[in-house]
Amino acid sequence: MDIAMCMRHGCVKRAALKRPKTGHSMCKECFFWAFEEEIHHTITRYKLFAPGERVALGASGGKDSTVLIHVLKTLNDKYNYGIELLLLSIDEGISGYRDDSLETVKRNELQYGLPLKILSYNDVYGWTMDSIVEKIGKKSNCTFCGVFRRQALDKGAIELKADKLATGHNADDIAETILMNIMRGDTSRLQRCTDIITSSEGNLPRVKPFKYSYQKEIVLYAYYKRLDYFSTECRYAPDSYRGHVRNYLKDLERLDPSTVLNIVYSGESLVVDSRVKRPVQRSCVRCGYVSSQPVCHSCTLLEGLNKDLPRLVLGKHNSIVNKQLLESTPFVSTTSTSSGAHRESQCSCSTGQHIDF
Amino acid sequence: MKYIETYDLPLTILPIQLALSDPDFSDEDDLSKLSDEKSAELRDNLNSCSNSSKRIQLLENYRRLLLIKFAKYMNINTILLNDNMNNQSSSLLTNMAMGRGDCLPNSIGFIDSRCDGVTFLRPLKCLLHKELSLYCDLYKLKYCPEHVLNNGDSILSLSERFLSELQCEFPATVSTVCRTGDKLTSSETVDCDEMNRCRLCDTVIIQTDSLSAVDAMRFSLSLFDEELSLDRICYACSQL
Repeated sequence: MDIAMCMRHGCVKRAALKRPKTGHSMCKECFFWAFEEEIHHTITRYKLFAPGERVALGASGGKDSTVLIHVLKTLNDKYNYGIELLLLSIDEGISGYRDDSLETVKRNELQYGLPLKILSYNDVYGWTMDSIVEKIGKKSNCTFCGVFRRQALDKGAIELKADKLATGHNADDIAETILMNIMRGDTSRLQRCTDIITSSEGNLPRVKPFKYSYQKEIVLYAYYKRLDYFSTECRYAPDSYRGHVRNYLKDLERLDPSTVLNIVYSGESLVVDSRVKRPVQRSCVRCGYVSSQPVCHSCTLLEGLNKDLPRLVLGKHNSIVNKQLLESTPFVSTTSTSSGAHRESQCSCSTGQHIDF
Repeated sequence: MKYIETYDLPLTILPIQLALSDPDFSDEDDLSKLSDEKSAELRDNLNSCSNSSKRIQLLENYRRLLLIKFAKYMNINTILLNDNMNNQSSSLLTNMAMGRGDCLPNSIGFIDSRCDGVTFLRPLKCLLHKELSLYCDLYKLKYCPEHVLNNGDSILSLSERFLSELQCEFPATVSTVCRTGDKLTSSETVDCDEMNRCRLCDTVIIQTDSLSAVDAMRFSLSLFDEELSLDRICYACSQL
């Protein structure tokens, strides 16, 4: 029986794996080298970081964020990016899932010697995902979680005085998002979702160093490096719309592994007709967060939860609901939005907290 | 064929392997000879595809090329296709999965104007398969089931199954996917000479030195001294 040898030029070791992305047979060490070099190439080609920047890493304890922490620390040391790495974790309040994964993040904090900040939904919004799902059932709960997490990450990164936020979104995640936006007809998101650096006025820039890395390879990297990560799917995820798309993508990958990168490439090539109406970016009149509506999605969802009408505001952003919320909003004065300035406004959620942006 | 013959319209049947050459359509003997000569080449080309999805795509490219060649011979400048909303939505997802995002507006839109002098139109693209079946039943039109190259093990059949299952739970799925496709436009410039078009599918070859997934793939291959060559062929067709 022929033994597969590592295909890297000059390497004489036996192959330990076959790369899903390129089909090359490789030994472990050469795989680590190739994986890290590709991410370094992405970082330098797209100029993701600048020396002196403070970069918050979204850390969930899962494989993507654990590998992100490990690889960025390795590359930062090896290639002298000159960046300061910080860990930021969000506790959505999902018992049996998030509480366990947070223990992993706390171990990561010690293993890598990086400062960690944990922000919980309960602190920011006065709700946990468990209490939200109890109220709304198992449909559309990913909508709440996604919207809330996005804002919570921005809030946490600002509190850490970070210049950028890096997340572990990989090629499979981006391919799923592209397909979802096509299925939902969301052309404005379709145009933005392939950007490797996403930023809008007043918001912290977000970068995705794993944009071209396959999920399977991230798993292989974490496995062979024996990294400490938490590997369980969110118990509310299987019933989500994204779950359908994820299964379709997995089936596509089984037929032909190149479909993942093909979808990312196709998404990058799409051009939306200029005559298609696009949302105008503005700031939420309640919390100041960037929004395409007068009241942002997060405040709208919270309003629905607090008024015991969570389903009223789900689905496409309802202009009538938004108008009603706007009419019930007290006048809020805002300070200048130039960088470094501080905006304060009163949110209508039940905590009565001031949300600072 | 007997159903088409009832309409008493001129009918021409051409073997697909003629797409591999420049046939003289006026000479039947030449056509017959070429058809025999090229069938082995066609078989080899199809066998060199690593999976059935690529074979289906390659056959689709050849079909389009042959239609254009014959249309130019006959001085026909418009070709009507029978694509409906269901197969357009499956084609959209299939094309995305095969890296054909750059030619989506042409490959699934109402007008396909990739070729100078010959335009493809899809007048049925806003109609569902069910509506077309009802129309045929109401007017007692005879038809035979479409010849499907799909053997169930391809990206196209997977996309069809995925959409039809999702359509049961979310009835607007197929129409939403098609509407999203309608909102896309081509990134082609008006002046585009032949050298910048893919020789298989006529799509404009986008400069791939720019930052993209192709650039990332090129780098991954360069680590093993391999190249991704896109000389007069687009990224998607280079994988066939």
